[in-house]
Amino acid sequence: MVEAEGLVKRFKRVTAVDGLSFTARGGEVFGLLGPNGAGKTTTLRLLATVLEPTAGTARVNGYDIRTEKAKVRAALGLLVEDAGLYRKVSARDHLRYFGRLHGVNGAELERRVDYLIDALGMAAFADRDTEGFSRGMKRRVVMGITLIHDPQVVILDEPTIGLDVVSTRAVRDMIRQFRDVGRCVIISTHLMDEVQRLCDRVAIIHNGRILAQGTPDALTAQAGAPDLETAFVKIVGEEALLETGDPPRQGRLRRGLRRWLRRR
Amino acid sequence: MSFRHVFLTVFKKEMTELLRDRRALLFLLAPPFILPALALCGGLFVGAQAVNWATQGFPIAVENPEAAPELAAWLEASGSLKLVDPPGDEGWGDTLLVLAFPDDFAARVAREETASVTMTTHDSTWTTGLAASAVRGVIARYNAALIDARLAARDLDRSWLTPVIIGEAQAPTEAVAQAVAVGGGEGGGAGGLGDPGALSTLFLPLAVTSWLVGGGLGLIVDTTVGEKERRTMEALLLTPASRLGIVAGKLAVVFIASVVVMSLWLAEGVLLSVVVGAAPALPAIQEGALSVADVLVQSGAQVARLVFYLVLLLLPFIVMLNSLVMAWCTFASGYRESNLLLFVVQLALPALVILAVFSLPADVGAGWYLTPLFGTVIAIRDLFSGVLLPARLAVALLSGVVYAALAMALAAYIYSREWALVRGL
Repeated sequence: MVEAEGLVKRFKRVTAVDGLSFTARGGEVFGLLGPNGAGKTTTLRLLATVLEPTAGTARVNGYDIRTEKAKVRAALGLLVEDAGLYRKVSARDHLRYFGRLHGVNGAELERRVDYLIDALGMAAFADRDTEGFSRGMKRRVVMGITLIHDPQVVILDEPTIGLDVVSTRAVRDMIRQFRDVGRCVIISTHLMDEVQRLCDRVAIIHNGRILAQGTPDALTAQAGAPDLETAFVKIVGEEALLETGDPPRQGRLRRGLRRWLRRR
Repeated sequence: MSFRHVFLTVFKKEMTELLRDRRALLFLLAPPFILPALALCGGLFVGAQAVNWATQGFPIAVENPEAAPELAAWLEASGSLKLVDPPGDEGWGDTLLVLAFPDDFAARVAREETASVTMTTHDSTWTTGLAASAVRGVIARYNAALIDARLAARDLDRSWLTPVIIGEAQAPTEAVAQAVAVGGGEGGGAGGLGDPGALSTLFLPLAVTSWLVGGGLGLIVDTTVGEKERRTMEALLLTPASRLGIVAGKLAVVFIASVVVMSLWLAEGVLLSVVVGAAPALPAIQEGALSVADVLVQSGAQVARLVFYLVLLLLPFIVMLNSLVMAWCTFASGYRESNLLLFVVQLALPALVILAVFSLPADVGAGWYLTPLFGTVIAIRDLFSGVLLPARLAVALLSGVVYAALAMALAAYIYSREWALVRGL
């Protein structure tokens, strides 16, 4: 369902994704694990056609992300970690708006909207403007937007972050349902417990490259670790984990100014 | 998915969101109501104060009035001044100014020499300014009476003092005669608002470009870079909807908001212009030679023609300006960058008008009307001056439409570029 072949993405001097290749099949949950700044979110944005790869390509549901963007977008739902909402639009109207922009209309749209409101537990606030929503409420609406067009491939960046226990369980159940009906689900998360519970296969990314991939149990065994978390730390390297962070965003002027101040 | 479907979906959502946002609506629609209301309140307050002072008399003090008894009597009899005691140790109190006469004042006047009087003020408020003007008026009348007496003593009359006078007349130029009618009087565009050189020809283009076209600029920020700030941009980009349809839907809402704000300003301007235009006919109305309705219809007809051409020029101008700002705001990574541009636009528009009004000759070549933004500004200047030729109006209008289309294409292009859309995400 998703085949990445040598994906590369450079931002000026920073190489965020460096020749990534993997395959995520239909009917499985594929996990992307990595420290901050490893290139996970950039990879997801490349797959979703939000970013253009510098080199390499990928096929989503059989469509090329470089040449068949509209088809890729129609086949894919992406939940980004910090997605927001329009203040003066209700949760229901959010779903309708994005549904229409995905080409879902009429009775089919209303059926999807009602289903998602029910499945994501939004009935109590579906007709209220989203201004003042808690983080968990917003997250559920964003999840609904991601799924409104019933995508074949679902990519979720930190899907349960900010959700309470009940909502977390609902989202996890939904992910399993997707897998069970043969959809391809890719999740990016920091929660090892979530990976262990949900993912059929995992790729560990660091500095834009895949260091290891396989089932959670296989990775744990490969690293000779008692659990996935320890295996992750071993594979990435403890020192590398301490060094990582978000890539520097300083401009040339600011870097020059810093160097000059240091010299003074 | 058709362009029409995307356009209508985005348009409906943006319009609904705007109409449900009471604060945004208030800030959008309030200025055309609040600013004139504030100006009216301020004017009424100042007027009432002025009338109050003029009725009661501005309190002024005279030191040594015995040295100039005649002038002191003139001051007292003027009606607009009230003589009070000079300020003492307790301060000035209500006293606005003090006039001090030297001891030899009367003697110098009698000898036909220049006598001086010292006027001292202790602040620079507008009431003190009015009191000083009233004093100057009384002294001017006193001077005139003295001069008349001195001329009479020499068997001369006032005309002896002004050997040459200038008689002023205005002949309509060819440009004024051929201009698109804005004045309605004889000689094509001359008369009314179209008087070349009148204050309105300097001020109105400035007001038009500063207030009328800026209504939707704030909305553009919300519909473009606001998507990045709210983190809704990515969800929008993930839809297979055409970027052109999205841009067109957003631009349509901004355009409608701009036109609504422009219409409010214009309605007020029309009302004011009709009343001001009718004012000179007041004596004729009082004498019964004209009816109020006739005067209002005549004045209204002049203003309606002006507004018609103004709207023709402004519509493409608004589309172009909104599209350019939209292109930039799509590229901007956040509110800070977009607001910097809006600040520049708010400075640049009046600067363009000032350039057009003050630094270009009245009769510029037709090529000037082809320049983006500036061409429309020059045309608006000429419209208010009553010298806008039909051919030049057509050039400004057509080039304005072409530039508006190009600016829309630029906005759509930027909205389809990854390097612009993902900045700040």
